Amino acid sequence: MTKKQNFLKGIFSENPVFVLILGMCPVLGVTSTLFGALGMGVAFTLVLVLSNIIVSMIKNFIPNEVRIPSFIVVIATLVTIVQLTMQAYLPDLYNQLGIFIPLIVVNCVILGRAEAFASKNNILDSTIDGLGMGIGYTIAIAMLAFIRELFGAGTLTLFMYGDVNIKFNLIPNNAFEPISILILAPGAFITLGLLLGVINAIKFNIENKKSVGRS
Amino acid sequence: MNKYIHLTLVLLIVSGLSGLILGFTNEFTKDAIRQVKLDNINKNMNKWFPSVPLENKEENATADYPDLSDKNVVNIYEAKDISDTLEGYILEVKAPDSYGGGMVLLVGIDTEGKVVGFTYLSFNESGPGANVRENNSFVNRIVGKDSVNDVDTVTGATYTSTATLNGVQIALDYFDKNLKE
Repeated sequence: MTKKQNFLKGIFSENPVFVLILGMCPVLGVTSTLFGALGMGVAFTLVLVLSNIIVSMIKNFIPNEVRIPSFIVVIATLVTIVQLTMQAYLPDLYNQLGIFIPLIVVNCVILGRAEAFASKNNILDSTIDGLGMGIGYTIAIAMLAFIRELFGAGTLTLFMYGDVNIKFNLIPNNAFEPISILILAPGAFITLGLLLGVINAIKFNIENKKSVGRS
Repeated sequence: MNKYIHLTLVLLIVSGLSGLILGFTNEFTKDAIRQVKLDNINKNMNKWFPSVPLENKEENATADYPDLSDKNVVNIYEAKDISDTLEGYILEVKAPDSYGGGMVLLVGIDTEGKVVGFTYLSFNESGPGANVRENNSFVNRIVGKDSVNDVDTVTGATYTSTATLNGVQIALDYFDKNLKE
């Protein structure tokens, strides 16, 4: 596998959200605003890349029997660092993500990549894998949040820090009522299901064209 | 036997190192986190009691106050204007039974025992509960009241709004019992 293929697999062929359907709890939980999803994506990518690097570095020193608890300790440490840093310097984002930051520890994508990839590959490949997977995850939850916030609340929140609040209100003068179920929990499932359907339809279409081309 | 000692040592080293790193991180961020909290308190102090100058209030303001055995009242901050006249208090209270847990409120109460404003110091609500923070009509239903037992909750966010009302009521009860002159 080339470095480019290694990077792109996390975004397309092995996208953790749309293909592997992993780490669904924050995918459904934080995607009611675009800002929350982007913040979650950045925090997630940071933890994933760093945990892949560290696991790849220490893999030869960790005996097989205790690898899972060791990886979990590494991941929990990184998440706590991200959490404290965010609480100190990005309090609005910290408040918005709330319980989902500590829950990154138990996100199966991160432990999955540590176990399936970083513990078997070198530091460079593990970094690229982490970056690809992190970006793939961020794109997926940002797409979901974009649709949910746009149609569910009629707004798009890009940034919030102190008095700086970049939020577009896309329904002038309350001209029509947004579909508010989309920002509720069932809306997360409905939107994810529809998105998965569209993505699978596109994928099958491309594969069909390829097989027709071959024959 | 040797194998188990080896495994234990590896886990000990991994945990020890991560504890050390977290200790450094805490040392590095704790002042900034405390400052965020103080800024929040000062900003609201100035907003709810405009005559109070914008200055840092120390966190150990609780020392002189009675009955903090009510575990939900965490801290009390006095709002005094330039001539040292008491304008009211800001109470930091834990609001029990919220949807996401760990809700902490700052409640501003004037000397007559009426709510002048409230905000969230810690807010872990997700889904529709997350929007309660920006629900102005809910906020307006609470401000100016000396009891919030009869205030309506927000449809679709019952847990969050009930927890908020409980927190405000805890602050009001504490004021009536201990601070009212």
